[in-house]
Amino acid sequence: MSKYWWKILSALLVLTTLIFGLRAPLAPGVPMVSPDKINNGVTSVTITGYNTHFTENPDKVVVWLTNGDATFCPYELAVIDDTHLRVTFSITEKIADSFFDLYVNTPKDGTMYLPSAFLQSKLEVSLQPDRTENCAVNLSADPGGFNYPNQPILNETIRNIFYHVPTWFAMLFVMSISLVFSIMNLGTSKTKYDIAAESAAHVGLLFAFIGLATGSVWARFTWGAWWVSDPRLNGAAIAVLIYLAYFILKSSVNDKEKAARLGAVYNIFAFMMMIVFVMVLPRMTDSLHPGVGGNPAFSQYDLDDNMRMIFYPAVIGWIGMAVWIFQIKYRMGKLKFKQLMHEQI
Amino acid sequence: MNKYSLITVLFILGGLLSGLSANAQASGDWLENTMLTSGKINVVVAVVSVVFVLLVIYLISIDRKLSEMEKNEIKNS
Repeated sequence: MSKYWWKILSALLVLTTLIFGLRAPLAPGVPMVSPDKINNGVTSVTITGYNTHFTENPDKVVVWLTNGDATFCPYELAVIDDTHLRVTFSITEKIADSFFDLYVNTPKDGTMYLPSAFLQSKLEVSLQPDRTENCAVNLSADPGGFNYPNQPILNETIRNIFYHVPTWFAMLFVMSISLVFSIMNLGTSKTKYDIAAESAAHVGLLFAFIGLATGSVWARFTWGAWWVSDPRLNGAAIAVLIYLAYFILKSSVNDKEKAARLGAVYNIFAFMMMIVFVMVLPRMTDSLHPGVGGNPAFSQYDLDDNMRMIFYPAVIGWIGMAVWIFQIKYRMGKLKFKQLMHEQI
Repeated sequence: MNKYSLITVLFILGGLLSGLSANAQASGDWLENTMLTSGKINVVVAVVSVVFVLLVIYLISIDRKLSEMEKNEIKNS
């Protein structure tokens, strides 16, 4: 039983992060407005909230727009239900930026924000657009509580961070195991190290495929395409191809000992290429993918403290699962090798 | 052609196809409606399912290899 403690621990970590990742609510937000244009004169818009509680304190709902330094207040505000507000603005100045940012504040939900909510359309030119009203006063503080940030476009899919990103961490971890065993194989020429390196790379490839597939599904419904030409995505795809080549190389050499040595040398090269394509190159350019062009995988704006509490255990859990699968594969590989030896004798 | 060459070819083909379909904008209305409502929660369901399905496929492949080894074991003994 003592041998199994880390396997049970990682399975439990994966299970708990799965449950908490799905169960904890999303923070209230205002994901949608319609229409999304502010016309010259009077414009009525409907603001759609998500997980919001507008009816609980209808008098204390505060709505305002910002554009640059200027603040704009509605002259009419009606609460329709918990998730719908009808707001009328009267704006005639033309302001520097083409987009208005929307803020909504309620006692129960705190301040919610939708950047670039409205496009200004056909507004008159004004030379001094310095209308700074003060409706953004007496604001209620954020109520706190355990929830995940409600970001525009992402919405509920922010939870995918717990299921998509840890697979890449697991992949990097088992690929490092593979690298270590390949180096050990070069030093000692022991077949068991070669089997271990190949098993680890095999499991790493599995997790890379899971990462690509989950990322693809996520991208389809947030960025709008199954695959976007992005340095991080293309880098990951190239890394997968490099590791597929490792297996093709190993299976194409008939002499087992030669295959092991060639494989080990190639594996070291493959690992370095993967680091370049997955970790280095994506950081040098900008892209849709969070964290690219600076931070490793995500910035402080993408991952708040509540998410960290689920994310890090998920990473540890999935790494544990990957090592577990690798171990099974390795033990099978050793058995198979023994059988082959037995047949030859 | 061995198994890994086949996977590589399929992988590259899949990449090309997905690139083409992105230009074609084949919009599945049913899919969009399911995925984009209720705060896109179904995307999370889909992602978790993909993880599960791929792990199960991997388990099946391991299982088949083990069966093969068991057969050899019986032959040898």
